[in-house]
Amino acid sequence: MSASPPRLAERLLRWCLRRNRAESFIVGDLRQDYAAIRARRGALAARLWYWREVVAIGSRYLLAPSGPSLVREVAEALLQAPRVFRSSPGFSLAVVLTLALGLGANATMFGAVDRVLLSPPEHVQDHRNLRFLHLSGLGPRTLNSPMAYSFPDYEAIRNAPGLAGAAAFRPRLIMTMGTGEGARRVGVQNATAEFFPLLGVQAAVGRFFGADDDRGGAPPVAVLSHGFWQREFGGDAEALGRTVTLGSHDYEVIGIAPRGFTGATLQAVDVWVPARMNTILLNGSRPLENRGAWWFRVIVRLEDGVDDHAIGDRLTEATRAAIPPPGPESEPNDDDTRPAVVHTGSFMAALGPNADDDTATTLWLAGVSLVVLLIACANVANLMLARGIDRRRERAVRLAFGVSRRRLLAQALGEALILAAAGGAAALLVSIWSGRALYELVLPGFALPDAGINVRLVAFLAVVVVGTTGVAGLLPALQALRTAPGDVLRTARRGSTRGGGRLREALTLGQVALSTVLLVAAGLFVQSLNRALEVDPGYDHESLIAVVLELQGGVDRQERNEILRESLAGVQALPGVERAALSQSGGPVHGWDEMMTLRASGVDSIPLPAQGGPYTYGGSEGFVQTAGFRIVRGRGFEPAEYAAGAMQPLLVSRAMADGIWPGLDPLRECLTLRDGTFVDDGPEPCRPIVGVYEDLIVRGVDDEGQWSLTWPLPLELDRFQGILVRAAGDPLELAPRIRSHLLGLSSEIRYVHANPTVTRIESMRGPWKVGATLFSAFGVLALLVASLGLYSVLAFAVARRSREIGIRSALGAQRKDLVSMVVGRAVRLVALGLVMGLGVALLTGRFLESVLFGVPTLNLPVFATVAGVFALAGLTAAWLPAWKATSIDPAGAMAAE
Amino acid sequence: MPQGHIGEFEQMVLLAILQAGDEAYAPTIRDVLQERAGRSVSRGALYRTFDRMETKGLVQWWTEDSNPIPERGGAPMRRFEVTAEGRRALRESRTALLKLWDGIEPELEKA
Repeated sequence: MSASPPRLAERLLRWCLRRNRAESFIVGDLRQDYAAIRARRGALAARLWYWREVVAIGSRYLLAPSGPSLVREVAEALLQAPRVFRSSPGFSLAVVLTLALGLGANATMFGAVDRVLLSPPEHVQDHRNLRFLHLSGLGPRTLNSPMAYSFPDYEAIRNAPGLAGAAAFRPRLIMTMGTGEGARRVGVQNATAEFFPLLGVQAAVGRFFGADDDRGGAPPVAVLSHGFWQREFGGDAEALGRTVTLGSHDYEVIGIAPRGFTGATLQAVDVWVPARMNTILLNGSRPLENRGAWWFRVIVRLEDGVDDHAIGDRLTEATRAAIPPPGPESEPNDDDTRPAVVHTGSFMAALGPNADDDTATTLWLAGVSLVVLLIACANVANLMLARGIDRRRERAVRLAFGVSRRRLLAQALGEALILAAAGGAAALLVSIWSGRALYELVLPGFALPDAGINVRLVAFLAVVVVGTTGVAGLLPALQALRTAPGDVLRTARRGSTRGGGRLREALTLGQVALSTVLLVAAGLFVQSLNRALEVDPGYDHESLIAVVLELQGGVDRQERNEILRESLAGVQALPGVERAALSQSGGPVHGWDEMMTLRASGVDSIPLPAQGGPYTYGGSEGFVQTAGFRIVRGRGFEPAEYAAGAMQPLLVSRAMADGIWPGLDPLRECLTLRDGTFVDDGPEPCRPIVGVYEDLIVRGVDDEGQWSLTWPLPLELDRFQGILVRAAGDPLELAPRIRSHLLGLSSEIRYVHANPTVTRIESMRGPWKVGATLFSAFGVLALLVASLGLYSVLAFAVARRSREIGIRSALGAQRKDLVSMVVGRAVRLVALGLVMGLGVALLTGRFLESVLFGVPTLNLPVFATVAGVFALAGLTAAWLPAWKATSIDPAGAMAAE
Repeated sequence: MPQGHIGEFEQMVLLAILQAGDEAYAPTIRDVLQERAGRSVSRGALYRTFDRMETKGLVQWWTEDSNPIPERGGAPMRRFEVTAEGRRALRESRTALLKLWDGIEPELEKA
């Protein structure tokens, strides 16, 4: 570290002293003292000391009468500004609280925006050269998902010229660590050995896995995240060499990632394991050779000066060259022959677990919090104007005594700045407190940022505080400039409604309008949530429980099937279980999205639905009844059809039947399924369709017309994953009983998932719940702030006009005239604000359409409700001032003058 | 400038300059004030006082090369000297004080 004082501080000192002949001597003296203090008390203490001295010396010179006058006035105004807290505590508190809320919401959102959009993940070096690869055009449907890489596709490009490096990883898998009741869920990521060096990250303890660890047959090793290491091993360096049990395999811990490192995305990862070694994690279906296993994401680092287009072309060429030519047995329309295209995508834009959705959500919230800040600013400006009007006399007196107008302006701005800074400091606390809640509510699955103060956040707040000072403080400051001492001194005694009255009304109008927009959005989201709550999943989901078993390693498929059959018998015997069946997947919400080719006689080619699918369900006898699928045509399966060796017919969803055979009777048709995993080798039969069932909700409540098909599976088949259970009573009560029963049944059962489907459907409604909650919270906040603004405008007007009101009531004005005078003003303000707000809501509503659920944005019930709420709020705000107006004593009001 | 009217702090700084002799640089003067008079002086106040006393003609200074002190990074040093005017002001101030002190010691002893 340099032994000379902080450069910036020294430059500041030179600037402060620039008019003084002693400048260079003072700088030298301080350097000398700095060196002595540094030797005695260390570098940090010396730097702090230096800064303090620079501020002390600099302010003495700037504030000297010979110093530059504008700077001096501003500096003096700033030094005097904290007095505002003593002289007007109530006003200061109102301003600081309003700004703390407005700025706090923005600080919180900035934290998220910065993390999701602006900063690279921690410890990633030189992210400007990094790109995510997207592969499109390969396979049975156009894929544009970032996960569209198979391992062979990755191997084909990873040494292409123009790349300084490449790595593949799988998005996080949630796995079970440990067994039985003590088992926990951990986030595991498979990555190739190239992953860590590509990102330029260094292990905090131990080492990362290298090429020797990342190959078939290598001993299983794992790298832990820093947080996981702290939680599970207490940050003990002895953790190296210990084992962690993930799923049914042991991994030796070889290294700890640095604090805050989350890999190439922001998903919370606990453990990294090598991808090539770890075929166990990949379900054993030869993922390293299988071109159809599109489970990887690929990141590359470009060499300097390499252009995105050129590298895209080169990688496309390499990918196509590696696709084997169609063999003699390939079908003429084999999907693998479609041309693949490689695109390079921004590294920064793809960070989140669901990058596009999260980005959109985050930007939305940032926009809303900006509106809240605007409302807060309008309110603060309003408060400041009111206070400014009250202090006109004081200003006039000071002007009369020769204080310059510039000084008054500096004072007004200085006060605004100090109040905004106090609001900013409070906002920092608000954002620390609410940041965590925001991540948990809106961005689940993100690694939480480290607690503590983020320098970028403080810088952002500082900028916004200055901006807020400008917006909220400038109008009152200009008002200070317009003061004409003579007029004010003459008129002040009589009181006047002039002076900022119109301006304050305009500000209130703005608040009402902006709050209206937020409340309309809140209303639309609440309606969306209601719609989502009304959605029928297409099957009787309320008492369903999906049970999936995780077994110890070394259990073969046959043993697995026996354990499952025993478990089924055990569960069927449990009290509270209505019926149960084995299932090939985790139940209706966990259908398998099969990459299958369908063929139907008489149909040339079957266009597969864009939203994915068909989802396949299979189960043992009683599966269809247990799942609660609603047959709309034909019948369910006969018991004989579940028997081994029988021809398995199919049930298809209504949308699938209509999609393949529009206008025809599906019960007269049959389907040939071609898929590598589930149909035994040999000629594939054309399976008759025996029934059609209601479409299911599979991925989200906004699913429409998902294609799915269901087949009967013989008990002997080793294809089951779990048990589907229909509870006679409360599934939430039954689920834990099933878990503990099965854990006690066999020592081979390591972990039991027993998930009531209600919970899953509930989480599908999450997006609208979040939208409704956040917009309602912001909307109510805005309504409160706007009502307060309205109240203060009316109360102030009544106080200013007390003489006029006194005269009117002396001249015989009735109570109702006085009340209508005040209330009429409130009604005018609210009505105008509402009209403006509803207009804006109408114009901007179409931007909301994509995130709403079946709710029109031109929505009269919502508009009417918002208008009603505002009418109520306006009357409440007007009530107290109106009552005050009627209780003004005419004689008293005039005598007081 | 009325003759002989110097403030208490100015008086102390003038004395400290005289005490420091050949070493009358700002850091040394500060040290002398600290050690001999027990006054911890802020640098800002001291520099402003130097400026004021220079305007009043109580002190003068000249530039010295700072080569022997590498910590200064080449910044020059200024060595102060009390002018004849400064010495006269000190003497007057001392005389005035002594006159005022005359006969007071026993009074102070009582307290």
